[in-house]
Amino acid sequence: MGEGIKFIIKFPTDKDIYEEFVKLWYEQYPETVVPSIEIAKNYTEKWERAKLILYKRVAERVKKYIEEHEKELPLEELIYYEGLLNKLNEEIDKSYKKVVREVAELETKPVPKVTEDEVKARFEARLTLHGLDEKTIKRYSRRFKKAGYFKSIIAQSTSKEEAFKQAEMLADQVAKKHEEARKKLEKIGGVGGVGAPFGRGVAIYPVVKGFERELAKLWFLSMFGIYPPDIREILERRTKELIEEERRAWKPNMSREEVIEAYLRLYPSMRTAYLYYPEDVEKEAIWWYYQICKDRGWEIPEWLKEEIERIKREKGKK
Amino acid sequence: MIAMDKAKEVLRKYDKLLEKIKKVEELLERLRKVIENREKEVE
Repeated sequence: MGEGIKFIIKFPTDKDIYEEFVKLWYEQYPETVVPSIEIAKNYTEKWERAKLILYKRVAERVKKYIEEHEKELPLEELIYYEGLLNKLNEEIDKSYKKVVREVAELETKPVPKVTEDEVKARFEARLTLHGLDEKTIKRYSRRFKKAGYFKSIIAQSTSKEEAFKQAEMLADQVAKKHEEARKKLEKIGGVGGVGAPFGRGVAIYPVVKGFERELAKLWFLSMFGIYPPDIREILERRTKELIEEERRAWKPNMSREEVIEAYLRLYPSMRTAYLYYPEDVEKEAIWWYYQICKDRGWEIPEWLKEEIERIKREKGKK
Repeated sequence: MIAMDKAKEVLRKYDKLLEKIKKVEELLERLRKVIENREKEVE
C-alpha cells in the first residue's frame, strides 16, 4: 500500500462477518441472549446476508469518499480502490452463485418425504455413537424437536439422505459442545467441588460466569435446548428472575464502573471474592461484559478494548 | 486529468457493484421466503 493512500478501509474478515451474523440472529430472535452460529437455522441465508451488509458498507464508504475527493485523488489511491472493488466483486459473485444454487434447488425440488421421527432417529443414533447416555439423548432430542429443528432440517433439505446428513451434523455439534463443557468442568474441578474457585460456598455463579460462559450460553439458548444435562441441575438454580435481571442489567456502552457495579449486583457471591481479590474480580467482570458485547453484537467501547488488550497481554506473560 | 477520469471510471464500477449487491439482496429475500414456505409444507 503506497504512502499516498489516505483513506484505507479494511476488507471484512470472517470474524467481522460472524459478528454481523450474530447481530442478524439477535434481531430475528431477540429472546436469545447468546446467539450461536453453529446451530443457526437458515444458515446460508443469514451468513450471506451478513457478508453482503459488510460489503455494501465498504462499497458505499469508498464511493462516498471518491465522490467527495474526486478532484484531488492521486492515481495510485484510485488504483487501490479499484483493487478493493475487484475483491468485492469476486466475493459477491461467489455469494450470488451460492444463493442462486440454493434457491434453485429449494424451489425446484420438493420437500423430501421424510418424517420428523425418521430424522430424529438418525440424530439420536449419532448421539449414541458419541457415547451420550440415553437420558441425555432423549433430552436433546425433545428440545430440538420442540424448537422446530427437525422441521427446519427437512424444509432445507432436498432429499431424504440430505436431511439425515444434516441431522447427523447437528448431533455432532451437540456432542462436541457437550464434550467441551464437560472437559472445562473437569478442569476447574467440578461445580463447587474441590478446586472450584473461591471454595464450595460460591458454587454456581463463578462457574457460570468466569470459567464457563459456554454453559450459560447453552442454558440461555432455551429455544434450542442445548446444554449439558449433567450440569443442568446446577444451572437451573438460576431462576427466571435472575436471567431477566441479567438481561436488563447489561446495556451497550457501559462505563467500567457501571460494569463492575452491575457484575457485583448480579452475582452477590463475587462480593466476598472482591474483598480479597478486587483486581481479579474486576478483570472477570470486564471480560464477562466483553463477551456480552460480542455476543449481542454491541460496539466494544474504547475503554473496554484497552482493558481487554491489557488482560490478554498479562495472560500472555504468564 | 488522468486521475479525474480514473475517479469517474472507478465510481461507475462502484455503482455497478452496488446494483449487483441489490440483486443478491433480492435473491436472499427469495431464499428466505422459499425456506419459510417449505417449513409450512412440512407442517
